[in-house]
Amino acid sequence: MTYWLGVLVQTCIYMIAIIGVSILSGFCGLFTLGHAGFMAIGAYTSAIVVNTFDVPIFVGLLAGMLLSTLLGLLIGAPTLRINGDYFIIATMGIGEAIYLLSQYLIPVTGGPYGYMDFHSFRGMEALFYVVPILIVVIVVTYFFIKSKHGRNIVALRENEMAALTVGINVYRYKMISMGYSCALCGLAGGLLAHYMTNVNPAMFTSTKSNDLVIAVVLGGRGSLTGAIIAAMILTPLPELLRFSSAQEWRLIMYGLTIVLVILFRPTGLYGDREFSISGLAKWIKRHSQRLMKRGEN
Amino acid sequence: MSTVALGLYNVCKSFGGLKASNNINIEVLEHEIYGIIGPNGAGKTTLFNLITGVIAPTSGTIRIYDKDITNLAPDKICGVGIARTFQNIRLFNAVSVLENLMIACQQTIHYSALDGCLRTPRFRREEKAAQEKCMAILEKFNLLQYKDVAAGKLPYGSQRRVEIMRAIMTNPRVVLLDEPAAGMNEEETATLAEMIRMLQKEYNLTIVVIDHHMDLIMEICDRLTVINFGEQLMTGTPEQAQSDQKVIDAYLGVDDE
Ligand SMILES: Nc1ncnc2c1ncn2[C@@H]1O[C@H](COP(=O)(O)OP(=O)(O)OP(=O)(O)O)[C@@H](O)[C@H]1O
Ligand SMILES: [Mg+2]
Repeated sequence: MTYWLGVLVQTCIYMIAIIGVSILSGFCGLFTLGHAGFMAIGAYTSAIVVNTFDVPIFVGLLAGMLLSTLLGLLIGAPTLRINGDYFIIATMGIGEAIYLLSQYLIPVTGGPYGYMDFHSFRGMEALFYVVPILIVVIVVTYFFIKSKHGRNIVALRENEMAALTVGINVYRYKMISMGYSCALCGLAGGLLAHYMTNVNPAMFTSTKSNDLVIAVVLGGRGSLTGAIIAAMILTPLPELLRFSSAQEWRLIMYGLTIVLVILFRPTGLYGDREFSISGLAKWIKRHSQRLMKRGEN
Repeated sequence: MSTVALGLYNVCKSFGGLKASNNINIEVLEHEIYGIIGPNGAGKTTLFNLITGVIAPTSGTIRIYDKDITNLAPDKICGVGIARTFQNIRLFNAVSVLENLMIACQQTIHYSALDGCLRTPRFRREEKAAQEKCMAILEKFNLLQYKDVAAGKLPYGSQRRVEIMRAIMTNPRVVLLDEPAAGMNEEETATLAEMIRMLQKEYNLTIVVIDHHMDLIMEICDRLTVINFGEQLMTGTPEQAQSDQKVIDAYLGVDDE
């Protein structure tokens, strides 16, 4: 597999995780600083399950998703009942705890050197897994947010009191958002494990957690299109910068991008709208009319 | 004798030392338009918060029809058939007007998350039904042209109307309106009075209105309760209230001897 195909695979994988975090932080308005931890759960679980029980990779992926979701709901159950600040702190704590455990639980995780020698994708196999899964994730998520249940999640972000008084069980929908985001992050983690052929703690640091939220903010809170575009920009960025030997500048670039977005486009690249063909047609029509007018003058 | 749609019995609520509601007894009859009036800080909004479960009463019982709702959660109380608007408007601002109404259709749309993710026939059927219901009320309120506008971007008066429509979309039996005429001029208030009457008939509602616009209250209310400093001053017809000495004193402010 060529280098650029590898970048493509990674972009698809992170896109799945970013879409997950977008449901929680963008649509539901609950910020998280620990979702790389849920990717780690998915990654280690899938690798270990595939290795130990000698099952096909997709079984491992499902196991990783399931465990990540269960853990997420376990964390959410007490913290989502109370005000949002506790939830952020809890996600930060769980992210850090998983990172430390993966370092020190050497018999299970392999410690700092990582867990390896498990069945992984061979050559182009990664693409055949990642691309169809990504497409399913995008379609299902789009349908989800355009359904009653997706609207309920946005409603509680917009005004929790009003959401309650129109009969929405706010706690339940916070749990659904948390479960959805953890499932997708667990899935992304599993895919990453089988693509990288090695799972190690450095892949899931708090910086990675922050990157996920940054991508959501950059793309626009409450826009699936925004999350997809942000993933397409931010995931290959470190790879591109690698050639300019400017790795150290990556964080500064990130910071700068965020400040620029907040200054000039506080709602994110895509606001809370979605890409649509009719929207594109309108945009083209509007701009072509403007151009024509300019031509007439 | 007609049925009691909403009943408050010996309801008390204290915030620390402050008695925001002191032994309130109100029986709102089915299909009545009922007024709650009183000076600023009298405890009117507190009553709505108690009824909708936003705050729990210190003591007393609240019933809707035969059901005791005293310690029910707000989302459950909505399911029992109470809807409200807020004194300081609470819309889902970033979301379009139509979607604001769709969100309120919790009682119309029952499909599961899986139905939604897979767009099953059930999803399509229920979405269509809810959308038609929302479009119908938008038309009735003359707001059809705003259906795709973000609710937070509408002028103030229209936002109030969207909030009322949203309340109706929850299929309520009792609707609580907290100062629906706030910030409106005389003409707008008159239109609102008309609209409240129309809603009551069209949707077979029982309506409770808090407002400071006396002309509105006097015109539309069958009966009313006057509250002052958390105390229930009087309950009766608008005419009785206008000639009640205690009420006049409360509004004009009388020095305690
Ligand atoms: N959650 C709360 N905590 C503490 N005090 C409160 C709370 N809610 C209301 N109060 C107090 O209770 C009293 C009654 O308030 P309420 O909002 O019910 O008045 P109101 O009759 O609606 O007044 P207005 O006409 O100004 O809307 C006020 O003194 C208010 O400060
Ligand atoms: Mg009030």
